[in-house]
Amino acid sequence: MAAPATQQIKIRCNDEKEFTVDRDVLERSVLIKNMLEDVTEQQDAPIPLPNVSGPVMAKVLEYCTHHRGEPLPSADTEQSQDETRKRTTDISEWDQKFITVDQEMLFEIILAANYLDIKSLLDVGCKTVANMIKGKTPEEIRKLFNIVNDFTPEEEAQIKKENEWAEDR
Amino acid sequence: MSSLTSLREEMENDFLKIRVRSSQLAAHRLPPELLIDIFFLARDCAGEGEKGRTVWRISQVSHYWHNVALFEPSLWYSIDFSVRGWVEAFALRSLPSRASASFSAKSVMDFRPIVEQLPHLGSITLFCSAEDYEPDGYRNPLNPWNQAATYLRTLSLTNFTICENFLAQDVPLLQHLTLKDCWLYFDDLCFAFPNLVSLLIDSPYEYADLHHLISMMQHMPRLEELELVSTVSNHDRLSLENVFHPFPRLRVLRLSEVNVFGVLNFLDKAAFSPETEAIITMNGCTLPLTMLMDHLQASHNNAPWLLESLKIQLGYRRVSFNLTRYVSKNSDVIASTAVASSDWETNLSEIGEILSLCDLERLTCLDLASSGFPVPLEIWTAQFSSLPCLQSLAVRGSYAESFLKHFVQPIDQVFEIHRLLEQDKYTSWGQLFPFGLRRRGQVVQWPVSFPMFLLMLDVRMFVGRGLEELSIIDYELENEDKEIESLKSFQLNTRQNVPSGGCWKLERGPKYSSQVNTAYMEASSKLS
Repeated sequence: MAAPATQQIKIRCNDEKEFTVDRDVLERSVLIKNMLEDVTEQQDAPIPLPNVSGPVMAKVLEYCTHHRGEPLPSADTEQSQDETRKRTTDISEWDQKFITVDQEMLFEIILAANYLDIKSLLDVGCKTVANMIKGKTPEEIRKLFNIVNDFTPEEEAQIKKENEWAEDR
Repeated sequence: MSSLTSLREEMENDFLKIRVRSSQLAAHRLPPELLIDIFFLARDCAGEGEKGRTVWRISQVSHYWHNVALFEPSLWYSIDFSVRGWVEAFALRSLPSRASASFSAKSVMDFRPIVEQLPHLGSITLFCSAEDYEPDGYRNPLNPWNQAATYLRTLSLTNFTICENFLAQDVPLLQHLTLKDCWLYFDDLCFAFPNLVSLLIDSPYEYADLHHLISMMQHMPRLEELELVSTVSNHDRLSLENVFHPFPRLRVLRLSEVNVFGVLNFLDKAAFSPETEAIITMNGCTLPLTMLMDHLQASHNNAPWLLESLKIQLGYRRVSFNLTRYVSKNSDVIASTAVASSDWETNLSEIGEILSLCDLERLTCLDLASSGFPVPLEIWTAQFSSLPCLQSLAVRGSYAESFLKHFVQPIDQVFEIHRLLEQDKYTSWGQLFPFGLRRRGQVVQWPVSFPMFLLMLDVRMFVGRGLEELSIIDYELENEDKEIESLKSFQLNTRQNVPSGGCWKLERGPKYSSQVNTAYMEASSKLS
């Protein structure tokens, strides 16, 4: 007997790029899952995703396809993580390869995961950034993320003074 | 001079432009809540002794990161203060504008630089994680002040060996004192803090005997709130002279993790105001409850001390029990509220036993918490048909999503049994756990049909003046738009009496958007 056909859902990104994706893949996103549950009748019109661009959505879909079928993080696991707010920054091998992208894309993926409510992807993104920050000085972090030092000279002097305490002892 | 001013303005403009440009960078587009999550991850994966430094470095990257880091107090709380200079710097930089602060450290010595910098604080919480006692005999973290900390009103200390007299000299006007896991000298504690309004002693290294407790309370004439956790000696059987000691100002008495004998002995010796609310948490269930109820009845008859409100909750077994206004000097005030909590499937008989302690004939309000699985009508009838005055019914912590659909089937017949039960007075709070109880590891689903604001209102009416604080923990929001809709359409029924006072807080759940907050504020304004 042939397996039942998976429902195909169309989505449209903010650059008009459209994707047609299996429903179970898309339902990794809690946002889309809820949207689909709210719609009772089958609709052909694509779901608009005004906060995500096509290239970013392509990456997100790559992640969702790879992780399709895996149980979504339950409230319990999230809770136990949140209990102490202590988490490790371990990332699985596939996820590590997946998230090895340029910085702009990394932050776009994080923002998209946040918007689409894909907790596991958000977690991978945040952990990656945390690992990049780890052990670096403020200047190294600035360089890494191309952040401009926008403290005023007075603030800078104060920071320098404080740094002597914080870093030298 | 004017050129200097214009140069300065020009520089400030430049910095402003830089900040605007920075805000467009990818790293700066992350909203604060995501950035904070990353900061926590970076902190927690840093090695021992590096956590503080990591947070410190993060806060110096840019204005945006600095502000985000500084405005998340919990980011700073659990970091080690092994880098001494870091502590000083942090204190200098971020604390002068604050009225309260909380720190942990591995050694009492690490607190000294903090304390030196913070003579202006009104409230300080210090947690010492040292495992061994220090050789100098006692650890007084406030000692470096070397002068009275006259602004300090609230002090919380964990894991200290305290010489109360020295501590008291440092904080002459202290009003709120919390001592957890401390080595205390109760002889000194009795006399050291005459101005205390509230005192919490949690798990001291040695139990206090009754003599000390009574004496301590007598020497704290302003004491309004006393909480003793694992503090009352269980074995000190009536060693005092057989007189009652009046504590007319005490409003809240909490005794937790105590044996029933310890409770009875303590209560035997103290006379409280009718306004006093006692909250007693003890091990075991039915037998201690029966003993306590008998004791209260006897006391009531003799009227040496009376309680307005009594709550018993969170025993080791799953049954908890909460009986409000069980005993009252005023015979017009009847037993009005009972809360029984249990796994219904296994503890139905215990619920029955607990309820049999109540004056069911006059019970007007029943609040069933952690009620677990759906209850068949016959069980409902067996347990609760003898509640002729029941007017209000609440279900909390139920696995059922809806009281109407699942809790008792069919619900219509419940209204047949309880003729006075009003449709609009029961609530259907699926998976909402009892107020104030922290049920770790579980999430409260927030039903849209029951907006938070109405919950607060309902709780105020429901609990009345007994409500001091409502904690809603581990909640989830289902649909903000619907909540906003409910809030906008909220109309206060002026016939309902809404007692004032009480506060509420939300913990560990998603934050409301500003639209909900606005709608909430507008709805609140209708109350006034």
